[in-house]
Amino acid sequence: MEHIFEDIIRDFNSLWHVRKRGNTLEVSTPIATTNDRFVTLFITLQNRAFIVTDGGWLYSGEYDCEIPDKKVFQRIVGHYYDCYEMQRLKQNGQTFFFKKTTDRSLLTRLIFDVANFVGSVVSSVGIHLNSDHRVSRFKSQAQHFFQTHVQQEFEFEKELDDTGLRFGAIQRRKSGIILFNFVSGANVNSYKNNLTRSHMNFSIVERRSDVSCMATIVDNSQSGIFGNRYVKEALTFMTETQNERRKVYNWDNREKAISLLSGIA
Amino acid sequence: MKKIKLHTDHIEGYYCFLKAPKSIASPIRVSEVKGNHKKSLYKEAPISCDASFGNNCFGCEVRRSDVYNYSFQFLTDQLKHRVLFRLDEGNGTHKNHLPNVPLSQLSIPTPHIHHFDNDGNWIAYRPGALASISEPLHINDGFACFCQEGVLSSPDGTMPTLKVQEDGAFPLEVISSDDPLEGIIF
Repeated sequence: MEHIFEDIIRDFNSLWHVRKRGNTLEVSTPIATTNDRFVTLFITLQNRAFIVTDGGWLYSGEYDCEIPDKKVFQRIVGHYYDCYEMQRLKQNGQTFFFKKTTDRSLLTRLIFDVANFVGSVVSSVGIHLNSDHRVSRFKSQAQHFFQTHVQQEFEFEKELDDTGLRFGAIQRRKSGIILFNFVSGANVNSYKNNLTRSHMNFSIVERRSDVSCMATIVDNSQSGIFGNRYVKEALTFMTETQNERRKVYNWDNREKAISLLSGIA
Repeated sequence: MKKIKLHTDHIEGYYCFLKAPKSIASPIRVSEVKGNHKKSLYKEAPISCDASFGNNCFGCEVRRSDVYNYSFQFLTDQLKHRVLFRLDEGNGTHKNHLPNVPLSQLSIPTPHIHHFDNDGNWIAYRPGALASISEPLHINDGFACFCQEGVLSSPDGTMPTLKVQEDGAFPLEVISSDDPLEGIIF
């Protein structure tokens, strides 16, 4: 067991990469971001002070993320900025985040702080703060139901080939592609948007001869939304116009959607 | 974050494209300011290839007028991701998003190349020509490596020439510096 600790140290150490660039060290750290980058820092010495900086990368897009100009993101950046006691410098049209010290013994501490600051901000920007939790929950629920009740392979929440159209579940068979959409929403507007988007996406791919079946499974658990006049009208239309290729099911009738799969196996 | 993946149906055609000779008109002049990154110079130019993957072109980006901070890539209109193959220098270490890979192999510093592996995963790797490099790679050497790994040449079979210069500005060699913090006073 004692070798495990040696493995930990060795493998974590292997994540450091350093290059000398003029009077600056370019250091790739083991701190990772959720968009698959490792945080890079730049270390230099000016007037006997060690400077540790992001090199302007955070705001210049080097991490493939733009900091949205929304108050909530500014608050997130501000939160980490305060936590790690960062400093900011605008020069040559760039914004640098940095920390400085004349105490050599604090240099690694600064590297730790700045790397965590950059990593935290970049990862936070990847969060979709405006996503509809009701939609996410319903989709997870539906995916779980398919995974546990149908022993068949599905691609969930994927784009169909390179059409730009995403579907809740895609199953590819020799006889053709079967598509499912799971429609929900935390409020009437969100529900209506998801319902119409689903209908539109199915209408677009309906022309493809390799798509054999398209089924919409709608969340009918919220009577307030489900009883909305537009939602009712739209669902009545979808139900009345369904055919062998286009189907619509309430979540309560999800078992029927599964029987649809076995019926065309 | 959405994982970039090439559908298995496309992998054979993809590798045919990568291995096939490609040609491009030379010299390639990189002189346009990039729309979303005003500090980058950018250029896309058509390439011809007998095993094309959609409509293909070559792309070059030079960031911050720095000869040690650039990317070369092959692009297609057939994928939403567009990028088929890319050499990066100076824009940070990539973390390969792969399961069952030891920690020590996740981190791929620049210079590195991105491509789709045999399973369609978009990964970074360092080919033999780049594996032992510990110093920043000058853009001319990076371009030579890209041409070699991506099988790109001029129509006459020689290596294409790259000219990086913003319209009306001094040539890049004059305004660039090896030190990314030169002139910045903290």
